Amino acid sequence: MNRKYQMTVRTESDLRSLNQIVAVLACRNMIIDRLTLARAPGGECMYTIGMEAEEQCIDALVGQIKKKIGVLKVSTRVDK
Amino acid sequence: MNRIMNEEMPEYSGSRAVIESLLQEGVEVIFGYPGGAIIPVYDILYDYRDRIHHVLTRHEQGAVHAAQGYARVSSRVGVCMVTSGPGATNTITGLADAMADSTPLVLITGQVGSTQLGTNAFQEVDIIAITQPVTKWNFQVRKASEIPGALARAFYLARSGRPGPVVIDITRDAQVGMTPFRYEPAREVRGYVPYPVPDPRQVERAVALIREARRPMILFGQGVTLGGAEEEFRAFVEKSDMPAASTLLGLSTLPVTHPRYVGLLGMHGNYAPNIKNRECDLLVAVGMRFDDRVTGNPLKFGENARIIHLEIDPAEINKIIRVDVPVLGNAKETLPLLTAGIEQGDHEDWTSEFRARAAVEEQETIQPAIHPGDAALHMGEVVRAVSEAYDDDAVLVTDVGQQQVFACRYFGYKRPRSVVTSGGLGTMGFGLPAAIGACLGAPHREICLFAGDGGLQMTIQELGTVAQLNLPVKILLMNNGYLGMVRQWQELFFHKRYSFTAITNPEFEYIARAHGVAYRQVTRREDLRDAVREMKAHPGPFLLEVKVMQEENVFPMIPAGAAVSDILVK
Repeated sequence: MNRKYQMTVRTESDLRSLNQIVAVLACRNMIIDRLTLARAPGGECMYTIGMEAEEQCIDALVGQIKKKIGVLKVSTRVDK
Repeated sequence: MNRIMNEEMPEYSGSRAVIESLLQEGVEVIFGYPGGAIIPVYDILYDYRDRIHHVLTRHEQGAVHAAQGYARVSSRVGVCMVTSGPGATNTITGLADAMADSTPLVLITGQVGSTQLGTNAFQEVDIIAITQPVTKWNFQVRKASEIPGALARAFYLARSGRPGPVVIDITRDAQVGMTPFRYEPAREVRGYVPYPVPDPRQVERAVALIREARRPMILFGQGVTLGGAEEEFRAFVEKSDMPAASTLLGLSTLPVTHPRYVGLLGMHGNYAPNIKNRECDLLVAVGMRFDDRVTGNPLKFGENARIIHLEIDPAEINKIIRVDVPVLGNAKETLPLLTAGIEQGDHEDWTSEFRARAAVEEQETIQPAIHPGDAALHMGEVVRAVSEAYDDDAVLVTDVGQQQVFACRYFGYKRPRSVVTSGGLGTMGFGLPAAIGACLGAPHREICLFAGDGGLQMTIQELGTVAQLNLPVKILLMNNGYLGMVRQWQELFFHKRYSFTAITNPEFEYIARAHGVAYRQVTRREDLRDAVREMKAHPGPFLLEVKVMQEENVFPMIPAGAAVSDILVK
């Protein structure tokens, strides 16, 4: 069953991480509702991604994104 | 001209910084192909040619596969270097193969000048974007000062944790710019956790499951070797006394004669470990990722078993098969924890059930394969003849296809790192360049390459590399005039509609001799062993072409989508 999630990804400050994150989501045909970028004072990037995903998929997605070099932290919550 | 700034930080060109950085990492061999965008580095490499051996391959794909073969047998990082544009794009297949099989590689690519980036300059491609999905990390260097740090990080990432390929793309101006040089090996990368700390609670749970199990089986993969945990693994197997089966890339981790080794898992694996899968009450997966070639239908894999998964990459946990107890960490650390926690096991009766199943396979499949009754030469008998000639102690390198399966099934192994094959990507053409790398990575071992007529021709130009270095690669060409594995599937599942799988081959003798490679052809069984002896005794490279049965099928086989316990022996 699909649910709406909000995924937050903190990365080092370059757009290559965004490219990698999007590639992981795209190859699994994820439906992305929104995507925002915020820069932290230290130069890190925080991406907030709203998406629909199956419950059993979300852990796998987190795992795949987390292992990308340059990704510092990944968290998800159900998007109410 | 270099000016010494101070005693600790000489000023080098970016190109010299590249070579000096490689020396700091202990690099002894580079596989590569020069071109315009990397000439400055090659110019400096010329001054270091007595310290770094550069192997000129005949295609950049060959350079990457050779670096893979080198890495697989030596446990070192394979290094390759190519130019920009088509030189770089020619490496993609090799990078994807290394990524799929977790092989540590560093590839250095030349790039146009930084002011030209994005202008569609001559031989410019965005190799960083192109290689992102097939590398563990990549980085574009635009300033000479970035070179030591980038290479240090590259080597650290390539070899640590779950190994993989890394690309460093260096612009021309970075190569010719000057920089003070100091090399510091990388010891950490922010956010990167190469070695998860084992959770003692998970270890305890795993020990409890092992203690209770009556019908357990160990499934082991390349992760044992990548972690340098062969001794720890053997100790675990022997204390737990569980039967242990290997994935394709785990082959040779245990010698084939080990009393608890029960064979190869998966699609063309051995009958016993596949058919017993359903009866197991515990599976202990060590350094393997439940690839679909191993699991068959994942919904039916280990359907009656609890599963423990020893794994270094958290992303692999529950990715395909849901497990009961994940034990994250390097096998070198986690295995001793389990071994210490368990008592001496006794699964002799259970293992004897595997032997009973193995006897069925021996009669139905193995004996007909290695001692066929008809006149035609079969691939299995060729493999056995070669393995016996080398006392089961050569390094087996294979290309991809039917010969790969026959070779992996019937070649004998006595020590680890004795098999070099393309697993996850299944790259035809992998074999010959990988054998080149294996020769250089394990100069004290004998290297036997099995290739089919299709796969050999994909990278046959590398015979030039073999000849130039006079490498003692022994090439067994299993020539059946078909793309055999595809033909087999067409026979079994597509009503024998052999759509474009028949291949017209050249006279391989002329190609071999044109390169100065010794050659012999065998068409009759009675000539086989003598030909193998001749090949083995020859000091340099040798191409032994064996005309094998044209429409031979490799069994056992698990049909696509079937459960592993639905394995067919014939």
